[in-house]
Amino acid sequence: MKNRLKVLRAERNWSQADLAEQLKVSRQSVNAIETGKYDPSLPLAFKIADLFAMPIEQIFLRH
Amino acid sequence: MTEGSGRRGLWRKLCKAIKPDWLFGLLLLFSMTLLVLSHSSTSETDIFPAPLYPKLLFLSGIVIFLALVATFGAALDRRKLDDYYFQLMANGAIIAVVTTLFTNVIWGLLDDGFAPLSGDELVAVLMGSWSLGYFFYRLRGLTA
Repeated sequence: MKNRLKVLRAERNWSQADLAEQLKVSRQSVNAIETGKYDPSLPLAFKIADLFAMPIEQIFLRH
Repeated sequence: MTEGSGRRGLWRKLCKAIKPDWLFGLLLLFSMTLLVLSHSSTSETDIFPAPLYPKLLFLSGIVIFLALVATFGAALDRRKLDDYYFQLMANGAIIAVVTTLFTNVIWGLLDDGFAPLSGDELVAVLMGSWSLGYFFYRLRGLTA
């Protein structure tokens, strides 16, 4: 599953550590999501969507 | 329909027929059978073999108790750890279990003068393969 996390984070000038802190996860988790090595759990995906104030499907794409 | 697609269809049907509940139920039965067989093979060499049923009961009790403790521990880990790390650990554990089982079987089949693996050696294989499994998934990613 692809995602726009890196782009959205860059638009806000956040580092991976900043985003990780806000999501209360490790920086490695954020890095793994951005590089497509890990699909987040549903609760984490909702947390990300809430943080960016966007629907999940605009952040995580099917292909 | 070609022969290849027929085989694929048969394979899919077979995969669907294997239900995890049945598989894990069989694993439980298999483990009990293995315990009984292993006891009977060791008791042939012992002068005073330990009685089977008390040993089986005691072992079952320990296994059930520790499995419950591990279940609660894993639930706590899941709450406290990042989901990412929990998944890395869980996937690594699957690699460890499969590797340990096959290492034990292959070691038994080799039978070229090496002594059978001891309990401590199997634990070492389990821990080593768990660590390797963790790092494989850490490098490769969980989605690959």
